[in-house]
Amino acid sequence: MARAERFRVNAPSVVSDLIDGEVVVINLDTGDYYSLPGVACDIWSGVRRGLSVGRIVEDLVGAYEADAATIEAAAVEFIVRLRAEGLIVPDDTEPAAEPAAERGGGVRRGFAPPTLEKYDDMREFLLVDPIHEVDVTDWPRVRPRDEPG
Amino acid sequence: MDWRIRKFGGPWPSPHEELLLRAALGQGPEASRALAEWEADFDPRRIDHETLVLLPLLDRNLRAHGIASRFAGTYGSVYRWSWSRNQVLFAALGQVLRRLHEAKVATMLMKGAALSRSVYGDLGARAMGDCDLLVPPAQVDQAERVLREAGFAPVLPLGAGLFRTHHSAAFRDPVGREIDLHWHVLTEDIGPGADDGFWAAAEPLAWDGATTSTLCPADHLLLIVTHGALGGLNTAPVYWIADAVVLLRRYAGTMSWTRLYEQARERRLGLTVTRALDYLAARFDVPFGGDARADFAMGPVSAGERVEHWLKVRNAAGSPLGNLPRYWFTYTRLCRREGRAPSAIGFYRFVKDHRLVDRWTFARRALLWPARQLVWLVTQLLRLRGSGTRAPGRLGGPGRVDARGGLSARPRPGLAEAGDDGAR
Repeated sequence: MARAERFRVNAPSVVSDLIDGEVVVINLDTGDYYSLPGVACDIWSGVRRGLSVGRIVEDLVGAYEADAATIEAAAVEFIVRLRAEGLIVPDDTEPAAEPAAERGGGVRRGFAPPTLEKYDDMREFLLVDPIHEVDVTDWPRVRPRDEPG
Repeated sequence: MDWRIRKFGGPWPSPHEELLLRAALGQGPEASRALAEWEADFDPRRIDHETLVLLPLLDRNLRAHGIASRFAGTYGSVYRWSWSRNQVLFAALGQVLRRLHEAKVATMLMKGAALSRSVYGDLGARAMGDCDLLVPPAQVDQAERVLREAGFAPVLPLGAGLFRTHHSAAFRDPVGREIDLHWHVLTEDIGPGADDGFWAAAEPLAWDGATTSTLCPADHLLLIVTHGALGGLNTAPVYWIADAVVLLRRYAGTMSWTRLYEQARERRLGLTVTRALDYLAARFDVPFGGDARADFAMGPVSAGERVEHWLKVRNAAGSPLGNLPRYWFTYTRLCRREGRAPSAIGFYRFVKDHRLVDRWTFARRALLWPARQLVWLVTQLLRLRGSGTRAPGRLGGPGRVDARGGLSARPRPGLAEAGDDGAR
């Protein structure tokens, strides 16, 4: 993968948000739900900001305690996985000027390879109507549509 | 003053629900205290509807104020679920809005979807069952075609009777997402011209590249309050309070109180609005209209409006008359809009069409009605003798302790039978 390559979130099929330090991603086409904690969250943030792969790696190197080669290999592998899942696609638009990498400003954190936690059994549950279809005991138990309230 | 009408159900929250609302809407120490008190009686394995729809807002509020909780994981999970579910709903809604825009159908978003964007500013904090989409009555047929093309089918068969006697109809796509297609804003006020004022004051709302609109803040508050305080049987009795409080805080300085009270008075909903705002002001310290409120309070309230309010907030569905009083008041408003006098035969047709039954089914039910009421009366008497206390209404209140000692679900009309909260 070229370091100059850039990706973008595969909107509108894919939506995401940063919730309490963790990125939550949903592929609306498949119904799959993903959780991106820690380093994965930083990589996703970089993709959303339109940064190149090289720039994302540079930022990670500045933020985490590990050798650059380890970080780059892990980051590239993770980006390949994101692409394979259809969460990101190559961005062929003209790149904007990237801001300078942030280095040495804060305490560097311990590095753990980024993980993509995938939940492919959420589709039905995501569609549960919280007003009418959730039973009151042992939540979450979905009340069958034909079961009287 | 005791704002609750516990033994009759009604729109006011129980003390436990009110603690949850304070934890979800309060700030700093107030929210912390309410949370601690509420959690003392909270079992995460048994979450009722009213609690469930407020947990995302609670989670957001606790995070915003840095309040720790031993159930933070549960709240966070529910928030993520709410956010995710809303994303799934909004994706479908966006497609429908774009198609409707291309078909030149005017649209307006109301309640949950609109409030998420315009008031909450957070797509996960407001849990919702469906998306409420209003179109002009003259464009309902076009909107129905567009919805069908987008994969949505009506939950109940559509027809002239339903169109005349309801304010909305639910549409569902194959994966279960629902859009409630409205042709009127309020359940209580339907008929020609009922929404002209709402359309005239609507405000633009950006929605993922689609052009749409939403009710102005005063009209939205009117809808929230009447939907909550007079709402259908499947209206959770707490989230209308959260919606109203968040909206009042968001538009505290710009709310047109005069418009709110004028609209309420014109629709014979003034008493409901003032009672609801009195409650909110007393319990949640929100503004409620100042001089406009005082001027309005001095205005006349008809006996009919008083009776309607009294019956509805006391959950009249638990009485032998069932929903008939509710239908009657909606029918009289409809007659006024149609320029005709209410009549017995007209009311019969209204009820038959509203219930979506043919005349024979209607006649059979009418004949069985006295027997059913007798059974109900005997049951109540037996329960009175057994417990020595006054029995609750047939439906009881929302989220109340049921006979098994667990929290009971708020009943809702079955899908095969139209209720009052839209034809679904």
